[in-house]
Amino acid sequence: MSLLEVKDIIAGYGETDILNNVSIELLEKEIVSIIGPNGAGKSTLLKTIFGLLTPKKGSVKLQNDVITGLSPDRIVRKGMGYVPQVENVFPSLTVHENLEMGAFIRTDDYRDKLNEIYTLFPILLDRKTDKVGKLSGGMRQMVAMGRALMLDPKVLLLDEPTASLSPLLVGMIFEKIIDINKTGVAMMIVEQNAREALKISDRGYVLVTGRKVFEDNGKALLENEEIGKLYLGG
Amino acid sequence: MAELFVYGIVLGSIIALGSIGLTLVYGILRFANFAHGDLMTAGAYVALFLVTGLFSWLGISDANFGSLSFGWRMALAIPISMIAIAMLAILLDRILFQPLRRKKSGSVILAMSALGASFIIQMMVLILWGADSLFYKPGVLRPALMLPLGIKIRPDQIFIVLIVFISFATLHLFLKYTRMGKAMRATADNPELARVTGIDTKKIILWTWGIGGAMAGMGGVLYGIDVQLHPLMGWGFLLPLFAATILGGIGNMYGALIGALVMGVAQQISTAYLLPTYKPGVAFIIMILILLIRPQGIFGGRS
Repeated sequence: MSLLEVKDIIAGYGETDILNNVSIELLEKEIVSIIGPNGAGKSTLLKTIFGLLTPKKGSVKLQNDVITGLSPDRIVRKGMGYVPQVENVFPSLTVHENLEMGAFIRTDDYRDKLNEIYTLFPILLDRKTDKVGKLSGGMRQMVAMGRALMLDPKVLLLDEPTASLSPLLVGMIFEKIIDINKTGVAMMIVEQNAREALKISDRGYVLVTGRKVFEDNGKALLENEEIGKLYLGG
Repeated sequence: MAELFVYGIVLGSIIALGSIGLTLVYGILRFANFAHGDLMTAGAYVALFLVTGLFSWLGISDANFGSLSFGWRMALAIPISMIAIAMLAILLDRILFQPLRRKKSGSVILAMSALGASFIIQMMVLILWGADSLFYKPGVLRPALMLPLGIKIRPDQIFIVLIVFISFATLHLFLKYTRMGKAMRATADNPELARVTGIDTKKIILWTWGIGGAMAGMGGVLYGIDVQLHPLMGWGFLLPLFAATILGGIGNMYGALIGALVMGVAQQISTAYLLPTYKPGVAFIIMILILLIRPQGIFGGRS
């Protein structure tokens, strides 16, 4: 069953349409990557799904529930999490407080969830009381993902989780993505490190100038010569 | 000099009460609230109405607490003024700033409408109480205590510094340990992310105005106790308020407190060398120097 269904989306800023009739879907427990050159509209697509941008046409459904045009704070309550590419943490708050903020709308006892996040990212436990602004890029990314997981989302959208990280950290973040996915969270990832992303993805979409030009399973996309040449750096 | 330093701390504590609201509002809503000083004025005059009007009519005793220049009437007037100004600040946001934000007005439009609100409050005070300087207790002798180093200080001033530091400590505990306080800091850090996280930013805005307004209201009353009341008193505070806020790093509450104390001390010490009328000039010079040298403020924050 389709967990997230995006249909015929046209969206953009002002007069300019960045996305032209994009339709994609995310099935339960899947990892799906969206790759493509700069300016293809990948981040815009995530923003539109999460309600940060209202589409001019088309629909977004989460578990068959239409969420098109809802505000992000409503969408987050429906079980979707989003980690923006930049400014994705609260820098003057501690690691622990950042995670607590992720649970802001929870009314139950979320201590188990906190422990779960610290088990997933043990390195954060040592830095629990440090201000996130002082942490490295990789750790900030972990805080951001941890924060988004506090609400037990069914779907997690990640916008370039490995941008500007060292190769070592890129590998580590991808490992964490696999770990998170194993807990049953379906994930949609926009990535510049396309090859690495496709390796861990069940399926992938290639977006070029706001249009979906390819879709296939991750392995097939990796082996596709044309895509390799054009979008995966040879 | 030691005495001017102490007076500077007193003045700085009062400035701090104003700059806390200014910095919180700026941190969360990203605009310069030029009406913030006038919220202080309004607070001072609400207390005047209570102390000399309502409470006298209700027959509440006018006796002073020990060697302080006020008693039960003021003790009741301070919290009531704080609540009244918190409500005024929230009302101002509801009828003026919120509709402008909905229209996605720029920060200049918001700042200019704040300036308009500032004039409205000033004129209301002028119409209701006139242009003269007023006192909560005219003609009362306010003897000073002698401290070591030849420092003369009035018991009122000790009270002012104490109550400001208690307020700041309470606010610190609130921001540090409560769910709402943490959410306020998160929203000041990154309003967009706060919304994405599911934090009810409308509620946060309400709390921000409420706390900022209450603190400003208290600041106005305390200045009235220390010096006098005047319809333009808050307007005169605007420059030191902004200077303190920028000095401490915009959006940084603790920076605002330190910035305010520095401003208070700098202004008072300047009177040893300059005419007191140049006090605002000192605030202005400090503000320009910080903007030139370290625009993000001493303790960081948003530039």
